[in-house]
Amino acid sequence: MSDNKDQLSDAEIVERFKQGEHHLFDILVQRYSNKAYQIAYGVLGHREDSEEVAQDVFVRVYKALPKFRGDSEFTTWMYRIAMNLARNKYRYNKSRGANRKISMQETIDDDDKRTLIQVPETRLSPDDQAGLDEYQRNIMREIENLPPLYRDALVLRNIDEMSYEKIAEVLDCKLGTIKSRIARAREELRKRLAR
Amino acid sequence: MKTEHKTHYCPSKEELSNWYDNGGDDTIKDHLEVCAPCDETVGFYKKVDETVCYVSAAPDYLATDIAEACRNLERETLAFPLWARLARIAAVAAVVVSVAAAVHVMTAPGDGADTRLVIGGESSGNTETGVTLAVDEISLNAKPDTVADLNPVTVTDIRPVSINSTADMSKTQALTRLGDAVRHVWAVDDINLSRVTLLEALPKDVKTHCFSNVSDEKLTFQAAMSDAQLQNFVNTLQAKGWALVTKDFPQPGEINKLKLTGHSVNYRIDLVKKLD
Repeated sequence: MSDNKDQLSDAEIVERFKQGEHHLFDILVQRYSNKAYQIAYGVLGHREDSEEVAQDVFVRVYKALPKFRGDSEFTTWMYRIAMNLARNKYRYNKSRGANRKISMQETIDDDDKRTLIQVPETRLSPDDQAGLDEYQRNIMREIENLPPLYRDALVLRNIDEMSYEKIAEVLDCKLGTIKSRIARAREELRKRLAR
Repeated sequence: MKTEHKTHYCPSKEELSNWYDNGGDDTIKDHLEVCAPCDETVGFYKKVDETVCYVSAAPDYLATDIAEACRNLERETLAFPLWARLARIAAVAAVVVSVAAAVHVMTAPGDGADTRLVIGGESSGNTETGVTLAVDEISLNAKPDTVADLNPVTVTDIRPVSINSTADMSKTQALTRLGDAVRHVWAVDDINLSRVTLLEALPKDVKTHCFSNVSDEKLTFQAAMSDAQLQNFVNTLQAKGWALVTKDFPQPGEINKLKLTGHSVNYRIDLVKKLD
């Protein structure tokens, strides 16, 4: 077993975590928190929600790691959790009509001092939109609007150019299905952006 | 030289996509040299990849925040080991059983009518039902000096009565227990100053808190504290001129509507700037 903690494999970290070296979990966080975030962002297109999901992913992983049997790679397992949580959040947002603008009125002291607060809940927050040209913004918006099966495969492909085999494992699909979904996602995207 | 139009041997979109990701087939590479539409398609794939990679870069603080959250999780686990959690569950179960038993004793001899507890003198004698529990002369005025004209209150009896009683039932309200997580939106005049206000108002023994999404227009703050501390915290923020937008409990000055249990609540504040 290597003494240099940064060089430990995921499997070694998981094993030592189970034996009580919980501080090693930080290494997994350093390695993969950005990946969890990217998955969430690809699905949700919203920075704050993605941060929330990424944190939730690691809280769940932390709790469940002692029972992780290692049947699959740690990353496959973690990506699955990330994808599931992101999908849940997506559905939750959708059910709440997160794309709509909502207004809330609040009485501060008396009726004369009513404040109208507009809380825009667009998918891309102003922070997210900064630095993007219109075409890039359209790309992100249309990725979010893709059918979930296509979108999920494409999002994973963009995580460090994940291999088709690994995507198939994470999404529990056949390799041919993944090839087809990614191609269709891109084609659909191209058609929508050409309109 | 690239052709302007598709040729009859153009690869399918799936082949192009697969080649773009995995390479391998040199005939497709050669084809792209001479076919503008296919080359454009692959260029589009590249543009999408670049955009997604650029946009979805995680913020620098994310890993630190997550690691901190996981460390807090460990501290909580150590603070409340399994036996403590089981003891807490057992205590709650004991209370529930006790209450259920008490309700059963009080309603058993009655006729099944809805019953309420009243303090002597408020009920109509004709509609009383069930058991009368006599408790004589218990003074409830612990600090009579503090309230002018306060007459000593005595409980002469406690009895269940019918729903038809003349007692004022409108005063009977169900108390709300806060959930484990509460999210409030507050409107403030100055987002930057609000950070100082938050830290000043935060109960002293709350060590775990964090800021995120900070800008001149908004800010997110999170902290864990007991439900009672949270009610006080909300009162303090209101007193400092903040406007609570969310209607969820706890609301400033409405502690009487809460059932305080001392449990920990993850409190998230989203601050927005008041419109001029």
